[in-house]
Amino acid sequence: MKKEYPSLLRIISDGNVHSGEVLAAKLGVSRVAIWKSIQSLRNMGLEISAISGKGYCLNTKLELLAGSDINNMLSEKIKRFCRDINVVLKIKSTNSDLLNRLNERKSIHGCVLLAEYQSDGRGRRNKKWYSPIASGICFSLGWRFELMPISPGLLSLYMGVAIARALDSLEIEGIGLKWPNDIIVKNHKIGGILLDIRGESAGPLDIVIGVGVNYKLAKKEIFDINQPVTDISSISKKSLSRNMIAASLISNIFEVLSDLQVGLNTNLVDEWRKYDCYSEKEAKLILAGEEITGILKGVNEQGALLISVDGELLSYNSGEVSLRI
Amino acid sequence: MDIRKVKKLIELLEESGIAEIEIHEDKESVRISRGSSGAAPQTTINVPPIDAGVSANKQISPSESKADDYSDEGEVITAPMVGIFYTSPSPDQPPFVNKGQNIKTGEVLCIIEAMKIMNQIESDVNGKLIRVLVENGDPVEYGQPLFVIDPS
Repeated sequence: MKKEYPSLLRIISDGNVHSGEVLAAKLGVSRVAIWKSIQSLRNMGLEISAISGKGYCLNTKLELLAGSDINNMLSEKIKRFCRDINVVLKIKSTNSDLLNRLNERKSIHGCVLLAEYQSDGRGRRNKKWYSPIASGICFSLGWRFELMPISPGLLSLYMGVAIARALDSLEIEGIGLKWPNDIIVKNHKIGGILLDIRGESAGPLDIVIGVGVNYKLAKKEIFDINQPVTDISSISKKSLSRNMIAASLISNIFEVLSDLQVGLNTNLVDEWRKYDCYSEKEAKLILAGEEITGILKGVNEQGALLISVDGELLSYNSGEVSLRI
Repeated sequence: MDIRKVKKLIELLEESGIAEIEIHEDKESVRISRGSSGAAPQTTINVPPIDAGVSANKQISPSESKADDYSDEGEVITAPMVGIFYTSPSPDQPPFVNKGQNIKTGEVLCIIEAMKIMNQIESDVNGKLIRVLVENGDPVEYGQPLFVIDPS
């Protein structure tokens, strides 16, 4: 992989046409190297047009994530919890990167790592998670509880609440949650969360919270992905800055975590229920060797999914909810 | 359910040495377990509020292997929660550990997933990994043996 593409992306993110020759001169490399970097960016899912005789350009202007911009938008209170914010262009997986720091016995408490592109992103059931470059707001946030005030399972739901609060505060309408923490707008998935934990479930426990929210997907991706998806650009009434969205997501996560740390607002189950958009719907729960069909009945106080099957109320802590029966 | 039947079940449990028994009959079910907590018979299906990954109405059946079965071979690493067992950090990556390999204390052995939480299970001993008892993608129960490590 060529090293030029990060600087190249920064230049062409203005949406203007740049000739290969000028780009090569600016970056001090050959035109072939520029062409290769353009290919690298295309392979990461970026749509770059090549206009014959003129040069390369993006279809629209692109706002890249910037750690300093995000940090400036955090409140003084949140800044106390947020130890550092870093943005990288390309990484295997932000969650894996923070986990690797734990392997090296480094603290990840209060660290935020954002990436424009993840080549090895992960989703639930260890599935691959796909997101084209700069199409979303994707990051991981590290935290350590010396004493875990709630079960890790509940924390998974609470992180959904944090993201829903953030999107609500940005006046995105119709935000809902699907168990345990998928972010949904009108039956379309707009974001997801994956938690990695290491340690004792009562504490000390190191937690890596991975968040991905769709910002602007190309039409192609909307059809490619196996489930109905949407993005912030399509549903928000106003134009929202990616850095501002990132700051809001990060703030709301730190808010929930720092409250828990001092024993405040330890019960967000009712708030989760307010966002629950599939209660009373018929659905299928896909488990490791079986599938169960029933009527969804929200969650119990432990955060387990409740599903009514032939009049019997069952609770589950694993499995994947599917509305397609 | 007939109270005499429940009483009979309790006697049966005490004689057998089984830790827990669960019986389903039409729409009723009863679970009886030993120990100080939760010893009273329950007539509803519920999830014990232990941890992230306790699945409903699934208990360790006596037929499944127990940690004791391998304790003479070495240190047995058991599942601290109910969930799905994964051998590698992501689908296209090699497993965290392989049979025959030397393991250090604190080294990640596998992931157990429930409620979108990937719980990285670490080894609490140094030694050689002599048995991997579960397959990638298998559901595991609380306390189920996963690995046997010959301590060094």
